[in-house]
Amino acid sequence: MNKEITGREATAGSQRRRGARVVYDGVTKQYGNLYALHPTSLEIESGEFFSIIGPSGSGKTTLLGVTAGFIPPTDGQILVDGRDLVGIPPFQRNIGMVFQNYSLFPHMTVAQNIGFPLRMRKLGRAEADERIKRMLGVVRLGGMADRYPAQLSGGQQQRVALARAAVYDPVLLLMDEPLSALDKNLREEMQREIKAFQQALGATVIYVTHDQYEASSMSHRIAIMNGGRVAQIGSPRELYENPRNRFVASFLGEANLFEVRRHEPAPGNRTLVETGQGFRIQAAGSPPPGKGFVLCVRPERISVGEAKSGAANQLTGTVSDVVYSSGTAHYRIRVAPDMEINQKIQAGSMARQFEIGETVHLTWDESDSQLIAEE
Amino acid sequence: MGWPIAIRLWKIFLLAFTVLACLYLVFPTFVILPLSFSSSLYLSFPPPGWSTQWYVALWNSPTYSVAFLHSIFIGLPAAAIAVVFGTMLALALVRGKVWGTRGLTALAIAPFLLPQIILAIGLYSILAKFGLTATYVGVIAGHAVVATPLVFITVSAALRSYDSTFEMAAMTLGANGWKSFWFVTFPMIRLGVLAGGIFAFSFSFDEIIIALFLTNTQTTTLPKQLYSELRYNMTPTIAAASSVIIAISLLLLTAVALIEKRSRKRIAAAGAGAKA
Repeated sequence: MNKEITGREATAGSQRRRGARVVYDGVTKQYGNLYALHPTSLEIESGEFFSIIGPSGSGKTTLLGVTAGFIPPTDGQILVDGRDLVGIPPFQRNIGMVFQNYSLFPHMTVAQNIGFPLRMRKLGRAEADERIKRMLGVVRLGGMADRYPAQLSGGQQQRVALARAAVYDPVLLLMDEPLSALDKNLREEMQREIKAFQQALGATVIYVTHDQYEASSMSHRIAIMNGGRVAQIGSPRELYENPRNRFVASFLGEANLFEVRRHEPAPGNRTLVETGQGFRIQAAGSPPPGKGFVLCVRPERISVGEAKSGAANQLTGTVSDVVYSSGTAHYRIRVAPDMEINQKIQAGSMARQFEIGETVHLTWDESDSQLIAEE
Repeated sequence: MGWPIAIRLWKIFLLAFTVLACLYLVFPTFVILPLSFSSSLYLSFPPPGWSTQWYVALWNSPTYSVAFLHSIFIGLPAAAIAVVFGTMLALALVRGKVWGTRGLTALAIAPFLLPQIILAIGLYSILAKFGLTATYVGVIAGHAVVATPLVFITVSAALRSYDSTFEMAAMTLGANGWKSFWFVTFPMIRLGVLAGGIFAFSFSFDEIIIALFLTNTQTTTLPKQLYSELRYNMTPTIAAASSVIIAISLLLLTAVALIEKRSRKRIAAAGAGAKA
């Protein structure tokens, strides 16, 4: 079960081409005056693992539906290797899709399910059998060809769904929250499998999820969507370290956000901020252009302990909650009646543990205070 | 053992109530059974003795045999038409994006809920214009109209028990609308279609009002034959014929129950599969 799929198994006996390059050019979906998707342009490279995350109603499902052909866009083009998909019905798009509930046909065996797209393409019996067999090998379900979906475990069904969506060499693989029905341990195992599967086939994958950890662990790049727009596109690291706005900062990972009441430049390209609670906090750099900004400090950048004389930023509060999980301590520290700070620390590097109700000092560098635009 | 007296009494009361309710529902129907085995020449209860003579009489009666065949020849095509239209309606209203789905759904069920006498009068006046009142065509059309909602309801239920992503999956895999219906949708709803078809046939087989209006002696159905026998010829043959109708209806209902049990199992399997 834990053996990873290797590239050699996947490509054995076939000459695979790389996945398609996908370009969205001003793709829009309007229902009356309501924009489900504002004009959206983005480029996905050949062989890229591209994730789309966002809260429900953010437009990610619309973007997927438009790509698969279930939702006609109001405007724009979707170019797959230069060919515009708009107007082509779903069954002629040659796109593979893995659905949230897998949608394996319950009345067909595993082999019949995987063979279905080949049958629709009127592929010869011998070649179809050969491809089904090869795909079963890729997803390590060799002995399961004659089982029905109901006789398989969730993870096995997932692998059949992957095999079925990829057996006809689609130009693009879409995945709609494919792991959300699995329990946590299996989900992590399947993340590695899907990633290995994608690399083995060299396929371009667009992966929609609401789970930011899943997206971060699998993707080359992530698009974060909000309110029918792409809020930011970047690698998981870029998005976490340089969020473009408040939404991205708070959606990806945990963030301590301070409202800015006043601010003034300080010597050495720094900014001195007075927060809504009256704290005075130093940040490196200058405020972003545009209307308004917030100050963000990530939980793991804060140290907790005794007062430090030389620290750029220091707040005092009482521990209101501490959660210990897999080697990391998560503290919540009340620093003002209306504000709690999240703090995270590797358990091994802690000088000592703090109890609920204890008074502690929080310190962090000025370079760890990020100034982030509201919009 | 171990139950408090109050609860035990309550359970006994519930059991007694259930038995009485069941008797109330089916007893009037089954009163006819002993009558059909009567040795008397008249319909009287209780029968003075037992005999199977009336079944023999029924078997040998040309009018009953012909009426029985008429009922089959009217019921089968009526059910077939109802299956086609009911399934198409269900597909359009459950899966399709049709404007005014709620209103159309009410309209689709209406023929079964509206008084059939009114439909019969309406059909009669229209069919009379085309000279079709006493033909198979008229009564088959009438039965098909009323039976279509029965198919619509069972097929809608079958469609609702499956997520529409199965069809979307079929489409992404290269199946056009017709192929995705034939290879994916239909195999998943076929038990619902079959159950609807049996209901439709069963309805037509028992129906009297439309048959009274739209058949004549050349096309008379079994229920209509019973009705006219009751008026002129009160022999226990009627009870024997009724018992045959009951037996056939029960058989059909049992078939539907078995089909539904199977389809529940399949849905459970498909659902559990996706969740596991």
